[in-house]
Amino acid sequence: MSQSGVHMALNPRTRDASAAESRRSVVLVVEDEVLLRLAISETLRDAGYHVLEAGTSEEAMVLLASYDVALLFTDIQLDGALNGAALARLARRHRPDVVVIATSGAEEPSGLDADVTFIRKPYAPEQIVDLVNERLN
Amino acid sequence: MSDPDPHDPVETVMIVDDDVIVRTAIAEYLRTCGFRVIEAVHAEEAQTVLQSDAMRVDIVLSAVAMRQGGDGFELLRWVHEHRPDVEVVLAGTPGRAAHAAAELCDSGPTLARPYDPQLVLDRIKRMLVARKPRNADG
Repeated sequence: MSQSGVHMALNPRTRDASAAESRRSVVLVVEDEVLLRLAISETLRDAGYHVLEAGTSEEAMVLLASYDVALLFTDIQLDGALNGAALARLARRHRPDVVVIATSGAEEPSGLDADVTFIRKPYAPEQIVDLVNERLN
Repeated sequence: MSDPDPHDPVETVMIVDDDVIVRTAIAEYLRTCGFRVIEAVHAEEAQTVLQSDAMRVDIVLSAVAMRQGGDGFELLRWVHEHRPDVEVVLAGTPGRAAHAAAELCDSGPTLARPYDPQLVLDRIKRMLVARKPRNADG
């Protein structure tokens, strides 16, 4: 998978350090509960993914515009202008091939695209790794 | 995530910055030089992490001005009072944050800067320019 957007205008000295990084799929975790975001992100990093973190939908949009995100993992309930379902739709418009996994403590909301995977909270971070592996491979 | 191990040799840095571009770029730089890095969107999140047993934190690298959840000086005072074992480094600009991160790398797990901090800063500047919305005045 091309990740040319991740490392722009590489200086030769940065290339070695960045080469390994650029081979890994980029996963964007959007969650406003910091301890949960931390747990999921660290578990995904331990599983080998290049993980970006956003605490709000606005941060997520900035990262989606700046990095070659392969998979968006987002909470449905988010502070800010967009909830996770709206964020997923905007992300798709910007990046049609992005894989989306959505989560919520409530029932699965109506209106999610058919190919969005939904997982209800609470979950173990390892379950998210399994889901991400499944959707990206 | 497993329980924190006090004997874990990997030093953990928490970066606190409400600018996602700056926070992400500095966090990735620190990860490249071997640190485990926790990202906090603002000082309140940083306090939540420091009050929990989720993960050991050795050093906090924080922006000074933040739009919500308290500024860097307030966080510094809070850490001194509640977690005096944790070192706090305040950085008033992205440039200072990049150089502070490079200095941490010099004494960090891999004992080497992965690349020049100026490259981190150049990248942050490019991304900030790309993000800047066009205004009516052009």
